[in-house]
Amino acid sequence: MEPSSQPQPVMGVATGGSQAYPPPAAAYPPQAMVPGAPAVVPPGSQPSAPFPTNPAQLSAQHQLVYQQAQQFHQQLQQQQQQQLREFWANQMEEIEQTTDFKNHSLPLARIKKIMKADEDVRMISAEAPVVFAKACEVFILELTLRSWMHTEENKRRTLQKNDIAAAITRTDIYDFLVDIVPRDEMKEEGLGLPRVGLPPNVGGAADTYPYYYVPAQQGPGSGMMYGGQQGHPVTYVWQQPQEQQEEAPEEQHSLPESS
Amino acid sequence: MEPAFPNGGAAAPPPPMAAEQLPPAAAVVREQDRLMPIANVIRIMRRVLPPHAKISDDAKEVIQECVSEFISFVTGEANDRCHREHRKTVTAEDLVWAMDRLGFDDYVPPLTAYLRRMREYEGGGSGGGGGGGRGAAAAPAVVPPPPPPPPEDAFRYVQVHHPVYAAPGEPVQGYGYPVAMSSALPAPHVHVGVRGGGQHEVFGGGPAPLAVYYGGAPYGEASSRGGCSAADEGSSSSSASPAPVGPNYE
Repeated sequence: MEPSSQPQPVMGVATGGSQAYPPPAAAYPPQAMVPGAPAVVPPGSQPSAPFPTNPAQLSAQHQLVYQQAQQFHQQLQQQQQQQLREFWANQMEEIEQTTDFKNHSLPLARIKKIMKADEDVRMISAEAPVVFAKACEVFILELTLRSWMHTEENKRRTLQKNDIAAAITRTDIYDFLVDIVPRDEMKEEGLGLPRVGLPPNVGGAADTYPYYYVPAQQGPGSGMMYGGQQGHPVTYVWQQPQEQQEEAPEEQHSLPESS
Repeated sequence: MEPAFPNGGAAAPPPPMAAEQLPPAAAVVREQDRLMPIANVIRIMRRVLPPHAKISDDAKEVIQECVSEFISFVTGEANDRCHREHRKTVTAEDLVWAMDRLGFDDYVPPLTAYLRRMREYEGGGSGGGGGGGRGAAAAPAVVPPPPPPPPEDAFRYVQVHHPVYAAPGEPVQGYGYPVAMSSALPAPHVHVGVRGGGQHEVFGGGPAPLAVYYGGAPYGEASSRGGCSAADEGSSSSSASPAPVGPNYE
């Protein structure tokens, strides 16, 4: 699981703001959703959580495999966060240098029609569609960038529908788009994640990777639940791995871990 | 219809608007008008993708749908604000404010800068008025109604607003997290000068327009969540609405 999160201050604000949404939805069963905000917690909790489980359950070799997987995911997250930071910096720079305000990437007439589709909207100022044209441009760019990150994780070069579904599930502010992408697309995305981790970390020992990686994910989640500190968002995050386990042959193994 | 304010109008923008007033008013929005042109969308997508990247057809269509949804989502929120303040015209400031409220915080700085530069470029009276400050200074020139409460009030309303959505049972745990992050909210509001006045009235005005899009949830933000939950389990959505727990303050 590599949910995207951004540590810089502005993004921190975004995370805080978006937190107004997750609580109600998180109370419900939707397993396929992975809010971006709780992703801030897992990296911090992972380093400490593995300790209790390592001595009793994992051998030295498996510890090494797990640590490698963990490092890989952390590096991946850092790379993606860096990409997003560069993206926003580029946007500001591009706008500060803008001199052409008459040619827009998107037709203003079309934007206006979509705005007017809401019968409750009466009048629209002339500047509104212009600002929206820029906003939509940024929206398309960011959504495409986040989707492409998922494409790269799966070693593909074609941006697909399930990549967009993954970006939507990983990013809080895209919750309003959930209904646009069918849930089966999200499930595909869910299945894709564990496979992504296999090649760079396990190689010949591919069969053993999911067996040991999954329990480690459960540990932090259950610990946070019992601790009661922000247990809710973390619980929400770990629900998806459990769903994946149900679809995997390790279902029996996952039961003892949770008990 | 949509008469542009004299101050906000440049020489070029008004004519296209005037020309397009008739078709929308006279006819129903056609299917082809519901989405952004796919060529434009693809061109924008490619700007952020590596040269060797390919885009599947279904991905292109999904992005088209997402953009229209984004426009409707933000417009609905901006329009709510207009109604609460008894205004009839949705302005650029309303859109930026709506994006901030809906979690698109990152969009506020670039769009505010874009709006400022656009007005400087126009060189009109509105531009001159906006020169001294960012969004805050420009707003009065475009919107005749009196200015809203200061950012501090806006922050307080935002804080009050959060508990309602974090209230039901278990989510209270999650609420602690957003509160910590919410403490940072004053910064962007002060920085961009976006008016947050009237957010307190969200409870009164929220459900009306957003319900049209996302269902019958009682609150604006809950609507989008309600729609999401309804897709998974209708009963959960209905149970969440009538059972709000008392707000939890730090």
